[in-house]
Amino acid sequence: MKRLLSLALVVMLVLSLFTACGGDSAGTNPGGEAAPAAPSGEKDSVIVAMNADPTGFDPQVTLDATAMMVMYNIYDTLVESDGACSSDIRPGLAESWDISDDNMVYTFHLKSGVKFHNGEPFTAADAKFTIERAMVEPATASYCASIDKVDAPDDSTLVVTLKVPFANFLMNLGGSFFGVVNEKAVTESGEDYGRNPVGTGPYKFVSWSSGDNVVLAYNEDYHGEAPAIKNVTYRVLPDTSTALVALQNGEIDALPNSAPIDAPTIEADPNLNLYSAPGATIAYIGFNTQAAPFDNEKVRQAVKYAINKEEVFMGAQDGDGVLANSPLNEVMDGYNPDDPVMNPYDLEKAKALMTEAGYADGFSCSIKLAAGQNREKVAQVVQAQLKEIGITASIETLEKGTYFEQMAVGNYEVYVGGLNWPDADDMLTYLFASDGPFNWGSVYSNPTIDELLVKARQENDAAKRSEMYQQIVKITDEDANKIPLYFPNQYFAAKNSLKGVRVIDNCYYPVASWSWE
Amino acid sequence: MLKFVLKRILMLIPVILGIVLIVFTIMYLTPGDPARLILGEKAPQEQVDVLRDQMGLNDPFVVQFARYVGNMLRGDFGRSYATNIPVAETIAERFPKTAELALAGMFLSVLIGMPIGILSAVKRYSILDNISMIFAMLATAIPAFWLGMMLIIAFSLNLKWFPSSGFDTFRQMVLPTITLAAVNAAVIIRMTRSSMLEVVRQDYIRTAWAKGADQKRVVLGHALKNSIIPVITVIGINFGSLLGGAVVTETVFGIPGLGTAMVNAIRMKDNPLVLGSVVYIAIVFSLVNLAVDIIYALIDPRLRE
Repeated sequence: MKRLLSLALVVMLVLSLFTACGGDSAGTNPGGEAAPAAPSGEKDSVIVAMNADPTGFDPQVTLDATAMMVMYNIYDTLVESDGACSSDIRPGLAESWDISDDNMVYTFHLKSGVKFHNGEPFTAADAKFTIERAMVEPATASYCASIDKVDAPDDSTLVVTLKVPFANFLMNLGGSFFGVVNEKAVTESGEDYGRNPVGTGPYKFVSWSSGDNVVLAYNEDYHGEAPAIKNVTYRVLPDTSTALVALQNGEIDALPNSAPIDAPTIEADPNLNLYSAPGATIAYIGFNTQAAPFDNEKVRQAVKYAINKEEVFMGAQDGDGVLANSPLNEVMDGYNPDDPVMNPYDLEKAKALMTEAGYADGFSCSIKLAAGQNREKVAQVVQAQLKEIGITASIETLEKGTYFEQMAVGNYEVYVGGLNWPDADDMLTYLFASDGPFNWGSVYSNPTIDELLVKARQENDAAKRSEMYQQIVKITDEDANKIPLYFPNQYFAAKNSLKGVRVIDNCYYPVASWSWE
Repeated sequence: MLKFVLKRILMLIPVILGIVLIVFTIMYLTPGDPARLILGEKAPQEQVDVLRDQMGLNDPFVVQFARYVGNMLRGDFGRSYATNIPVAETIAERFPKTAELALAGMFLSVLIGMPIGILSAVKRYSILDNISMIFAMLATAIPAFWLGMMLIIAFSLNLKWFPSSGFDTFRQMVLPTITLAAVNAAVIIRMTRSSMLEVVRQDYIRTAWAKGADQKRVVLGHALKNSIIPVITVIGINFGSLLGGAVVTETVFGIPGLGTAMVNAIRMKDNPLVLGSVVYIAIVFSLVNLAVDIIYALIDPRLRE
């Protein structure tokens, strides 16, 4: 009797698993999240996937990509530059601006009648507060290195004085880290400001359910054009495969930074669109130029000629992107696809250089990399290629924290690295300046390059700037202290009825420019 | 009984302190700078150093540890390095999902596992027995993420019966629960079966047969009660560890539980959140063990001392 009863219970339970608890089929309107936002399919809402839980929404504190993706919708910046990626500067909270003749003083004329999400009026004092805050917060201070002081002579004028002219100043001002905050809101919320963001943007913050979702709603008092989409929900889906299924099922509407390996699946799906753009993340090989044998320029050049970039590109990235002959991609100043040579692969020359350097018998070394960014495959292909010239490389995959610690003290020989910057100045400074943050362990120093970088930073003429950057590229191609490999593509997958999507940067996705067909 | 329970609860205190010391030391000694991990690869070293100072990371080990324990004893588990949200709040927010998932998974695995285990033991070497042994072997061998993904592809993408992620509505709960229950059910089946087999060969069971007792009464009444203690042990341990968060299932199904929060915290070297979660799991685990011990005593009169 008891057994019959338990059997009956099991059957009932199993049956109840299949009955709809609400009647909707997973195809048209699944999910039914507890989140307050409207479900997918309604024409004024959109559900976007995030691959990680953001750590907060304080623009001068949080720099992780998922948080920035949300913050670009909550906050406005003084000028619009596509998230600090475009030199086409458009008015933002500043309607117009004057630049002094020596390029050191910028006077911004601010829009009037703008209100923050908490009802407070936007004034120059808030802009001043924002910039001064960015100058001291550890996350953003380096972006303000050229700023001397900020003044707000009246409610609608902001004057920024630089220490030295800085050609990229306006472009940088469009970045998330200069998102304008309300002084009152920040002071009142104190440590909890990250969870209670207040901006002037088209969407205001509604809720953040840790690890689950972030909800934004249209700001009725928005000072600009009313967006077509009124409700935005960002759902945390850490696994890319699950996110793809959710998109295919219609449970989400957009999947930023979809995995390259899913590109064929997405393209084959008649309901989905795949947007792609060349990324600005350079994958490269770096050397410790102070440790033998890589202190010898000939050895580094030998490696340069031994690496067949096409092979690495196909093996590690499935050919998804573009080869790189320098850390500059096609939108950056100084880009020249013809010089240096894109793929200088020449095995004979490589072997000859090894002999010239005195290493005809080869040697062994280690290639370090940080786990989790597809760099293992690069290392594996390079390892095989180096074997051809007698170099026996062992691959050391390190956990991120360990990797940083070792790199910072110069404890490495060869490494596989990646760096993302949308402009030439930051890219080249980081990689090649004597005090560049990616000059790990401060092993490389070339005063000519340092000088050129400073001059270019202050040079307003784009042609002259390009020339200087090309000089730097030539020098670094010669001394081969870093070997650029390729730029992977960036992808964005969405339902094909979602219009207005542009792929510019991995986190600049203003929902206000989207609409449903 | 009451004294027993109180004693065990008091024992929690040195256990927790010991665990905190060990985990704190491990986090301190392992490479990786929380400030660097927060600011990311691109931040210049000077800014990382400024943040380190602000976070008190340059203080000597003893000072940092004393500070943490002092705050902990006052109920202040600090704020997460990454989000600046109080640790207690994050744990409170993430725990319910993990608890629901653990309970559902455990319930389903017991519901499937025990009856099959009993039947297998009673009908040893029958077809049912062989099938369930094969199932148990497969379920233990199949990795959870593979099973989860296959279930999603089959039932969510192709058949469209269930949503692919989340854990709020009943339909969202089905696939993750099955994924989680699979492995545990396997363990319970095997444990139940082997324990029952041992008991079923005992003399007192033979006596009951001989006395003409009805089979169901022998099996469920006598045999089961006597063989259940190892099974409860296994259930207790599994449940305790599930409460710590089934990270793989949570990641595959996008469930915002404690497991993923903890793993992310460890990766980011977010010490307050790691320590808070560990203390929390230690307490929960100890309480589950206590509950298991109490159940023993309730079932087995011999243990009621």
